[in-house]
Amino acid sequence: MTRDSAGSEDAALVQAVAERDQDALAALYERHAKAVFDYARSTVGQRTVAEEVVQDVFVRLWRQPERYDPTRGSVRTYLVTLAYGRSVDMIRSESARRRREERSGREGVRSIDATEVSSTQADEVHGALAELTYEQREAITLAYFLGYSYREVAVFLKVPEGTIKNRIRTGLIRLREHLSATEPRLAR
Amino acid sequence: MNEHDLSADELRELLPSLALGAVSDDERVQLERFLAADGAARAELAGYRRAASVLEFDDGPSPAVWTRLRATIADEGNGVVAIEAAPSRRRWGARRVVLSLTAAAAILAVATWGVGRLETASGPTRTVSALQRAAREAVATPGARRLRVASPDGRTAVDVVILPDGQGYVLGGTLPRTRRPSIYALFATTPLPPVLVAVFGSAVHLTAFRLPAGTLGLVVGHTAGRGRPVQPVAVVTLAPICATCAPATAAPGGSSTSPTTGTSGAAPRSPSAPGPSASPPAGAGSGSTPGSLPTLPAVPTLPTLPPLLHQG
Repeated sequence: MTRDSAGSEDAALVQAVAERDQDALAALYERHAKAVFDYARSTVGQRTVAEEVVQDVFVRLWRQPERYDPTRGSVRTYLVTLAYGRSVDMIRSESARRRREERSGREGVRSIDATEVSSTQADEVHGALAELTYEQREAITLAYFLGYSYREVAVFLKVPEGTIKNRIRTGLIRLREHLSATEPRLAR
Repeated sequence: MNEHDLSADELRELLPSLALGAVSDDERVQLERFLAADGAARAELAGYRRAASVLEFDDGPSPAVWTRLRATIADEGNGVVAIEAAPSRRRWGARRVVLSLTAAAAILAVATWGVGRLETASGPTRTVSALQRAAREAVATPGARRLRVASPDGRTAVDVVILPDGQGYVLGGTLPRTRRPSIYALFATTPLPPVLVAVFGSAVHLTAFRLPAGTLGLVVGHTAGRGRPVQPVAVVTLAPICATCAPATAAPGGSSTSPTTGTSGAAPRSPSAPGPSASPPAGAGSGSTPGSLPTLPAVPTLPTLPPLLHQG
């Protein structure tokens, strides 16, 4: 199936959702829930919170399918954009909660606390994301999951493109270093 | 978009973006030429790609997410929350509420619908068209009663319509939206402990329900979550609605309502104070005149409402 035909099918499914077809929603969930989940988990860190984002995104699609404009991008891009907004809300809420509780300074906005990373190998790998600043993670995840170029991410976030390019670069370097340090330990 | 020729340093700085697929077509062409001639750059790119792999997780959302989502959309899309009342059980000594899997899932779903989503004709009607049609037909049915389940101070209320056979619909309400996982639920008061008839999410919305025999009133309760105490927030009395209803005691002094708020903490309502009303709201349909409720029984003093439990 080509990307175009998949996109047409997705758009038709969204139209069916607008007609209250739950099977259409199930089909869209089947196609895109994993990507939305991966995006959300990469952004907010915790699995349960990411699942909440997934649920919220698809509930919103169910409630307001007319918000999707096929001329502005694919269904997946739209869903990830919804996940972005929801994740930002959750991160801000969590940050505010922590500020209230800890009442101590923290460098940057970090949605993932290193203490939340469990000791499983998979989590140790993915916990590398906790090493990034929020801004680095935001740029990387938007580029990766939205399929945007760094320039498009810059437009999306209203940030200079050089800034986004640098955030992607420094973020991936940081991830690479973390994995380099982690993989020998996991291999033992 | 045509790019100018990028220097080696500029191309190297783009390797992380390339690993994410976040470069333009022109940049990609230049990068491919650069990589073909530079082994160190290829190794660097491989490292970035491996780093980017942490964005992909082996597993997806758990099946429970879809289950909750399905329950949530069913709750809003069809409006019917399957509820059944279990026979009397020794533990409670009376009727006990049992939620179906759907209702239990609805509780877990911490639904996020807006308050009164369908209470006006201007709402997103296509969301629940079938249920909305049924509710409209109910409103227009001769003998139907439109009632307002109101808070003791009358500031917030839930509007319902009830057919003579006990089928009812919540039309909407003005109760404030709760914070998850708090939810609202609708109970029927009977000579026995209150019976759960509908579960909402964090806001009251269009829902169908069926009243059990012997219903004397309706109570909207609020709970902090499954298994947590339910606090009554709004009440209304009804005349017995079926032949098998237990005989009711008329309210003292001919008062049409005599609700209490149980454990809600509100002071008992004085006879002159505004309070829950059994009279139809403005714009009530036919068959909803106050005359259809000639003698209303007193709502029994409300005990603490039973917690919402799921029993396998």
